[in-house]
Amino acid sequence: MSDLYAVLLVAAISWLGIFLYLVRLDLRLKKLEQEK
Amino acid sequence: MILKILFGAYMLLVIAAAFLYAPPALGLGEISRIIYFHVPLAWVGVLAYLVSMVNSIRYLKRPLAEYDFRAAINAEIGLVFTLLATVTGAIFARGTWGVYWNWDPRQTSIFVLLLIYGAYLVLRSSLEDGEKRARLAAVYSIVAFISVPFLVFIIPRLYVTLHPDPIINQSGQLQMNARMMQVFLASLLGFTGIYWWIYSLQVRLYKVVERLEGQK
Repeated sequence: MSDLYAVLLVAAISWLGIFLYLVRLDLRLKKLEQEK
Repeated sequence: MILKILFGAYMLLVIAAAFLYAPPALGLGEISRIIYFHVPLAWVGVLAYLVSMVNSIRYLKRPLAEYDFRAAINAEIGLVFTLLATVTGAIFARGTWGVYWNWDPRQTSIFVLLLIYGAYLVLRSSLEDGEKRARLAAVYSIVAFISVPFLVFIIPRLYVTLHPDPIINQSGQLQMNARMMQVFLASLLGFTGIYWWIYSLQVRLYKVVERLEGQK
């Protein structure tokens, strides 16, 4: 695998990690917002 | 949630396009692809500092704790994004100039910017929570933002720098290959979206905490 694809893979995986973390936070917040 | 999943896919596309669709910049080679991350990170930093200043003005006009919170959280977000822009900039410098850090005018000015907003957070943490802290922080944030255009746009242009020409150069022209420009603008939009998402999460969290504390 060339260096370019390796860096692309690292960037994509990093984004997926950040994205899933934000989605998780969003869902937990939604739950808190709906609690009375 | 569908919008957020679409946004996640959009950012994956932007990342793929930065490596596979856009050509490397002439004379800079493959390392130039870092501009699709480095410049948007710096842009979000400036945007967050601007929103911080706007909320500080709002606070001084009408002292609501929420405005103070919005100003503080934007300074924090701005600092994180500026730090990331500094790191990606240093990697870019290593690939093109041969060293990570050489106190180039651009590097010096971003370092001063980090110090200014770092001091803002130190100022906040050194004072007790209350109206006095909020007022002082608001005045500091407004004064701090005055330095941003100088540090980001003016000072680096006054000195000889190794930093590549900004996207809009001194003659006011856009100099970029069409494919590079498409990816660059898509990335700017995407990073602005990430900023907005983080910011809105923080504001929502603030409101939930306020509500829960009000119920006690």
